[in-house]
Amino acid sequence: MQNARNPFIVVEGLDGTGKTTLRKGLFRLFEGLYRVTPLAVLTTNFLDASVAADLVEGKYQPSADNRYRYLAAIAADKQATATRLIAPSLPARPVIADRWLLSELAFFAVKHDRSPKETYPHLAEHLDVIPDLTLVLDISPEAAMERAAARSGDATRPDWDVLDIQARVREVYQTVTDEAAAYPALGPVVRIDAANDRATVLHTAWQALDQRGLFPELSE
Amino acid sequence: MAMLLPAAVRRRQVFQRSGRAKEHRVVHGGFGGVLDASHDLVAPEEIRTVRRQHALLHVEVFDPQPHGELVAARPGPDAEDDRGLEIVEALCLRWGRRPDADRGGSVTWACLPVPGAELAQHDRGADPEQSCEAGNLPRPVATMPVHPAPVPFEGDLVPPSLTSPPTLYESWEVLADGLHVQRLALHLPQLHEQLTVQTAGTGITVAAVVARPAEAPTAQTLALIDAAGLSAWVDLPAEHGRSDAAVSPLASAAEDVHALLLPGVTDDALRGAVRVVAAASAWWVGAFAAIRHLGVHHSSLTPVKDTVGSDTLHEAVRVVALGTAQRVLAQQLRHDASEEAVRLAYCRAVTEGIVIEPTLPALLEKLGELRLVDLVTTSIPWRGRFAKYAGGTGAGEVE
Repeated sequence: MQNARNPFIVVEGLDGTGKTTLRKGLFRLFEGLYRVTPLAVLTTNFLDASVAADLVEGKYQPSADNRYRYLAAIAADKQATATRLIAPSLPARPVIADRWLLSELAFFAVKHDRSPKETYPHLAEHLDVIPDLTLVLDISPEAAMERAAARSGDATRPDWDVLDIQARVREVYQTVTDEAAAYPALGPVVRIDAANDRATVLHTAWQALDQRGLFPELSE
Repeated sequence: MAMLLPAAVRRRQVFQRSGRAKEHRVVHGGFGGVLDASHDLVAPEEIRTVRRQHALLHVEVFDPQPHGELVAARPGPDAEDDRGLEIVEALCLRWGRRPDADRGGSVTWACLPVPGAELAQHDRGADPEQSCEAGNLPRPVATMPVHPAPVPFEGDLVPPSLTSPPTLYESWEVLADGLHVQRLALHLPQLHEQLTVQTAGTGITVAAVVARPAEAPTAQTLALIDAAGLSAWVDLPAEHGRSDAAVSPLASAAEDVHALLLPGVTDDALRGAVRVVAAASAWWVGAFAAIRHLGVHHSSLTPVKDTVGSDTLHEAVRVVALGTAQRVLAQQLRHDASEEAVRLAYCRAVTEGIVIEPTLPALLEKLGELRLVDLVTTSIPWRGRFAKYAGGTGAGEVE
């Protein structure tokens, strides 16, 4: 399983599906076993200060008035993240993103009633970095919310962290991943049953990456 | 012929009976010369390292020829040459080659059990792995290639410290290992003085918490532990553990980790290695708990005046055992990553560490004392693992 460069990996899924655990698990797998320390980034990293206010307003006070500014701000932030963090890092280390395009497509579908196919070109148009693999953690919204509620320290939003919204988000995930070819900027997509225990989820992700040659050669 | 290598090497009388690894450099014939004493030793090879550790012997031979691809020899029936590595393969548990960066040549190494040697350090009776004779040696991990065409072949295992440069974290791990050894060595007299008293606040006698771990390592288990860099971790409990005490009351926490990680794993050497390092983890926590009252608080560096509970020590053992077990699993996977059960075991160790991470700050506060805190903080991957080294500290700590 020799690869020419390091992979860009995206982890997607509802709150409570185990994205953080999987991201940390992959991080430790790369660092502890494959001896390369990944860079972990978020879907929004505020690297373009000129759109920071739009990012905050668009996420927490979504409205018809700010939705296009928010979409443009997300696109600008992703371009900045790709240009300043992801692309420069890949020659040296893997990059793992906690959410990326899929979450944004779902947000605009649920909050602004825009189909993923409408939103997608705005986000992907100037994005040169494509994930080598997008891992989607899939679980029922009920189970996800139950898990998320058991965690401490997470801020919950009444207009987002509710069952009907999360159910719609999951539907978007499924719709998009079912026709992933229409969204090439997502890269290859693998859905993982997040109802399994943590170790099995990590093991499944490991296998998915391994099958695509996304790990470096193990060396003693 | 089968016994020639250990017999010949024994004649050099370069072993130490101590359980601690000792290195010696003796200029002499190479593997071929050692293996077949009837040969003239025309090749300017040398045995550069002979190291004994319990019932395990580690031999290295230097060859000044440039390191290149090793091609399987196909000697004729009467040929007197080209059989060296076949014999090494037959006699040894593991072997391998690496380039010698300093001298430009090549080093071939081998790891083999010493026939007739007993696990004197552990003194636990006969171990069937130690009655090794030709033909019933533990199965080598790799086999010689038999392809008709020359194929590259580099042996089966190269000690990690001798191959690719270590990552910074691996180097910090080595420093942390040394720190714990240093602290134990510094406080052995006090540890022995404490043997008749209770461990403050736990109701457990010191002699019990430093009971010698019960698991008897086999030669293959020791080879894996050695490759994971954990020889001292198991040697010192074997050397300083109390033989007159029953099983440590902390041992159950170590056994829990073994049971948690290894469902489905059938490799006896790996299972044994995880069990041994986990049991040793209980011993280290017990030893540092026994001298805790002599230490200082990890942040204020003032003498500790409180006590620590048995439950807290069990928690500490669980964390430390998880970390050392993960190191053994990683070593096994670097050697052979094809076994899904082992990969899943490693995933269990990783995800259990992620689950434990949020509880660590509270555990560290309960432990309080610097040596115990360092033992726990450096044992598993978490955000605070090597913070002191990342800040520029070398290895020293207040002692």
